[in-house]
Amino acid sequence: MGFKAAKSALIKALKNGDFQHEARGSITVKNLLATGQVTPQEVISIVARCDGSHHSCSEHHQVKGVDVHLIKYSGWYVKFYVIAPDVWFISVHQ
Amino acid sequence: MKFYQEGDKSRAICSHCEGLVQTTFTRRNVPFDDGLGEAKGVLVSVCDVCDQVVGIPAQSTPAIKAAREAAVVSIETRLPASYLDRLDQAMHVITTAAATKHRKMFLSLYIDFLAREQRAGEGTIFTWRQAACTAVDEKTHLDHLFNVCPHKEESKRLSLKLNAHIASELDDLQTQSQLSRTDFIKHMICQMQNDVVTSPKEKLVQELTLFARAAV
Repeated sequence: MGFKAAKSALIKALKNGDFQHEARGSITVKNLLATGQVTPQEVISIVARCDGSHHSCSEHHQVKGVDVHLIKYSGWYVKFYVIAPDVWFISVHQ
Repeated sequence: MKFYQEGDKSRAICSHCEGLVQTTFTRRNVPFDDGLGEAKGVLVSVCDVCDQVVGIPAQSTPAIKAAREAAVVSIETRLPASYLDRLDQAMHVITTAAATKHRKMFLSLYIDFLAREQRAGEGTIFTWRQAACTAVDEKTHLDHLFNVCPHKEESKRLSLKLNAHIASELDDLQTQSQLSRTDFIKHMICQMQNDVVTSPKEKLVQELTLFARAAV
């Protein structure tokens, strides 16, 4: 999945509330979206301003075929992947 | 919006099982990964193989936010920059690996140390206000007392997120000192500098060193 498709899927999921946060037995406080310190609308406004130069992608280190997307923009760091029907956030932090 | 309920099935990546797994939504008490509290009874997805919490749906965020706010007390204050230099110097004496991100940990440990001293009748909190008031100028008494730069100095923000236990100890100590929050924190930092750098208290230095070895 390229940048445009990833951005589109991300914004759609944020608008619709179709997303989850990755957990490893605990709540990651660094993930500001999970703890409610930033809203989905705020993340949308960050992502909407990004272009391909702010995006990188790599395969998940444990699951082949799952692309992990990283958007870095203006000090923000948004890391996610897609397992349909949800977008999964690894982290949203500044 | 997909609204999950207990018993619903989904898929997720489980870091423990190292792969894509089937999950079931259920309610759990889930701790925050920095050790400050937990969110009780929140809806999460759990790995059907190892039973570990692997996912948190968007709908659980309001409950998590409320739990976080109850578990963490934010302390915000602005101090002349030299007070933060004093704090950093004390931390650096304990370990050269200390960085500004460790200020909260060192101050939390020191607050707890002061509280234990006070309970044991060895504390000096009651004299802080007196010391401050006998200094030259009421408005800037602490700056005079601790020989802070007499010129106008840049101020810096000190932001601490304390757990409820340490925050309660801080409140008690501040009440006993009869100082304002900012003046109390100034005095506490200078006292810490004294107890670690100028006239080291062996027990305190040992405690801070042990914690620093594990956490820094």
